[in-house]
Amino acid sequence: MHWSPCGTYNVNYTKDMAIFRTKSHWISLTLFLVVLFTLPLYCSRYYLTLLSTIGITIIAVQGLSILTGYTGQISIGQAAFVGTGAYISVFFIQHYEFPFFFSLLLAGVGSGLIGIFFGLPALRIKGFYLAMSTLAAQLILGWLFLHMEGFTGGTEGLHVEHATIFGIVIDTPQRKYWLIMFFVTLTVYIVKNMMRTRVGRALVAIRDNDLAAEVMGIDVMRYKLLAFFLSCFFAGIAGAIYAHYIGFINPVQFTMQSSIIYLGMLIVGGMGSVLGVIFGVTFMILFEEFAYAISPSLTMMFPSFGAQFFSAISLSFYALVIIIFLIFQPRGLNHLWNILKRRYRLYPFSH
Amino acid sequence: MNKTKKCLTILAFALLIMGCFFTPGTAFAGKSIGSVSIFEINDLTGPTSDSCVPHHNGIWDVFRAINEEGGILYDDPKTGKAERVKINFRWGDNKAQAGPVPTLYERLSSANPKPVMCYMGSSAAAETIPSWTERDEIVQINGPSGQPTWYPPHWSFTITPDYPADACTAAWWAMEDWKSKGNTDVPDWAWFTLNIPFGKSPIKPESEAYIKSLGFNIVGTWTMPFVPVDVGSQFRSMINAGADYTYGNLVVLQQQKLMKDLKKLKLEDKLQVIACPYGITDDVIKVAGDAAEGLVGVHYAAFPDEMDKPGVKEAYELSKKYKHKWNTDAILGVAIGKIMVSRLKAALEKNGYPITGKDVYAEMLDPAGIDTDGLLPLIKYTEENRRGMWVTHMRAVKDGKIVRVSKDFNIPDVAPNGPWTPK
Repeated sequence: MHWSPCGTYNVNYTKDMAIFRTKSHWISLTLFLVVLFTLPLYCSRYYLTLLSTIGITIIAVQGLSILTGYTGQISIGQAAFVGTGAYISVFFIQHYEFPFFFSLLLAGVGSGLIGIFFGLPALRIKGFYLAMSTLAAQLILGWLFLHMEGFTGGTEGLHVEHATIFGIVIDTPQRKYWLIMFFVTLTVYIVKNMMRTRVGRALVAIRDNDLAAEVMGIDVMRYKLLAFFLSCFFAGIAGAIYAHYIGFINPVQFTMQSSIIYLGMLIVGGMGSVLGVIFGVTFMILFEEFAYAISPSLTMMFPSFGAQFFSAISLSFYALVIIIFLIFQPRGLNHLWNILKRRYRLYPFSH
Repeated sequence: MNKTKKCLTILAFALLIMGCFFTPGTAFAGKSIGSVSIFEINDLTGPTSDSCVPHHNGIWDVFRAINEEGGILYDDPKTGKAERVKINFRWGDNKAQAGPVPTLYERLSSANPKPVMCYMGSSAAAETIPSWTERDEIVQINGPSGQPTWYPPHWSFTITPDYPADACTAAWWAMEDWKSKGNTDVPDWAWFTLNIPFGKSPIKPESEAYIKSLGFNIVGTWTMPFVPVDVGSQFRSMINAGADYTYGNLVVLQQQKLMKDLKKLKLEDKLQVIACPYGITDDVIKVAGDAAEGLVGVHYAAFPDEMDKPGVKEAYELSKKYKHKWNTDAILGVAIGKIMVSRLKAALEKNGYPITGKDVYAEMLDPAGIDTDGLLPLIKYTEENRRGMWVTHMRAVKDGKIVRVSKDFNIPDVAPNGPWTPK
C-alpha cells in the first residue's frame, strides 16, 4: 500500500507517477547527492574504498534484482557475468585501444548477449532447475576465464591500466569514487524508472504468474530473455568498472561464492525493490567489514584461541545475521524502512 | 530486559568496541622509542588456510617475542645508542578471495605510524595489490604464489619459488630418477591439476619448454575438483597415455586422495606421483597413512628436525612458547617474520627512527642477501629479480617420515619473456 505524505494530493497522472512528490523530497535528494559527490573532499581513502566497493556491488546486484527480484528467475551465476564484462572491457582497451566508455558499453552488451544464451533454458524450466542452469553459466564461464589465456591471461590474469575519460586519467581513489558513484546513480535511475514502464510491469507479471501473464498477452519468452539481458548488462558494466578500479583481474575474483553473496544481499535488502538492493549491499558489506575489523582485535585480546578461531567466529556471526533475516524479516530491510516511513508519516497517530 | 541483562549486554558491547582499538603496541609497555607498522592479508579461514594459518602464526610469534622484549633492538645513528622499536602488527583474513582485498588493504595501510611493510600470504591478495603498494611505498612481501606477484616487479618481493619453478624442480628430479633406474627411453610426463587458478599455475610455456628440454614427453593434463573425488579414472587414462610421472599443484586435501587411489589401484610401480611443496607435509602422512609412502615432493625450507640449524631451533622454541603447530609451514612463517624483522633492523640502523617504506625497500635489495639462520637458503633480490629463492630440493615419504632425497637444485629462470620463453 502506498502512503503519501500528509496533505499531499495527486491531482493528475504525472503527479501520481512521480517518485519525488514534495519540495522536501527534492531537497533531501539534492542534499543526499551533494553529500555523496563531495565525500572525497573530506573522507579518508579507506572510507572511499569501502563506498566504492559498495557502489560497484550495487550495480551488479541491481542487475540481479531485475532477474531475480522483479522477474522471479533465480540466478546463481551473476559473478561470472561480472567477470565477463571485466574481461571484455579490458580486452577491447588493451587490443584495440577503445575509449573507456565504449569498452564499458561493449562489456555490458557482450555480457548481456552471453546472458541471453544462458537464459534460453528459462523458456522451458524454472525455479530450482533454472538455478542449476545459471550455475552451469558460472562453471562454464569460470572455466573459460581460466583456459582462454589469449583473452583472459589465464591464471596470471591481466594488469589493467587506469581508465581515461576525456583526457582525464582516473588514477586516484577520489576520481575512481566519482566515476563509480556516477554509474551507481545512473543505474539506480534507470532501474527505478524501467520498473515503472510497460517492460517493468511485464516482468513483475511474469514473476507473479507466468501463465496468467501469457494469457494477458505478454510475450513471456521475449521478456524473460530481456530480463536476462538486462541483468547481465548491468553485471557487465559492474565488471568493467571493477577491472579499472582494482587494476588487476584474474579468475579468482569472479567465483560462485561471490554469486551466492550477491543473492544473499538481495534477500537481506528485500527482493523487487531498488532501495532494497542499496540497503542489502550496504548492510552486508559494512557488516562483513565490521567482522573483518573485529576479529584480529579479539585474537590479540585472547591469543590462545588463535587467529583462525576469531576469523571463523566473525564469519559465523555474518551467516547468523542472514538466517535471522530470513526468519524474522523475510521481506528485507526495505520492508523495515517502509514501516519506519509509514510510522513517521502517521505520527502521533497509531494508524 | 532486567538490569543484570542490560549491564551484561553493555559490558559485552564495551569489550567488543575496546577490542577494535586494541593493538600489541598498546599491550606491551616497554622502553621502545616508537613503533613501526606492518600488516598482513592472508587466508585464515578459506581453502588454503591449512598452510596459511601456520605461516601467519609463525610471523606473529616472531613479532610477539620481539615486542615482549621491548621491540627490535638496534643501534640508532641519530641518538648514537642502542634503541628499541616495537612492531605494530595488524592483519586481515581475505578467505583466499580477491573481493575483500581493497577495503582490507586501505584499512590496514591507514595505520599510524604509516606501514612500511606488508605480507601478502594469500595469492588473491598478493596478485591484486602490487600497484597499490607501489603507489603507497609499502614494501610487499609475498608467500607462495604464481608469477604475477613479481612480474612486473613493482614493490613486490616473493620469498618462495614460483609455481612453474617448483614444477621444473620436480621434472629435474624425475629425470635423475628415471636414469638411475637404468631406463634409456623417453619418459612421459603428465600434469594433474585442480580446476582453479592455483592448480593450473605451474603449467606455463616456459616450464613446459624446460621439462621438454630435459627429455620428457608431455602426454597431457588431467583435472580434479578442489573438493576431492575418486581419481581412479584419471589415473587409468593417464596410464593409458603412457605417463611415468605426474605433477600438480595440489594441497593435502587432494594429495591424500591421490595417494589413496594410487594404492587402491595398485599403480605405485607404474606411476610416480610428485607433489608441490604444499602437498607433501606431515599432514598428508596423518591423513593418507600407509598410502602416503612413496610420495615425492618439492621443497625449499628446512626440516622440522634439523635442530642443528639455529633458525629451526628458534622457530621450534617460538611454536612451543605460543602453543602453535610445529611443522614445515610454521618454519616458513617464522622465516618470513625473521626476514621482515632483519630488513626493518637494517633500515633502522642505517637511517635511525623513524623509517619509511623507501628505507626498507633499499634494504630488501642488499647485495649481501638475507640470511634466515638456516630456515631458508640465502635470499637475494635485485631491481629486476624479485624471486629471492633459487634453490630447491626434493623430499619423499619413507617409513612414515618425510626425508630429503636430493641435493640442492638450482631452479631455472622460467619468468615470462625470459630465457625459457618459446620463440
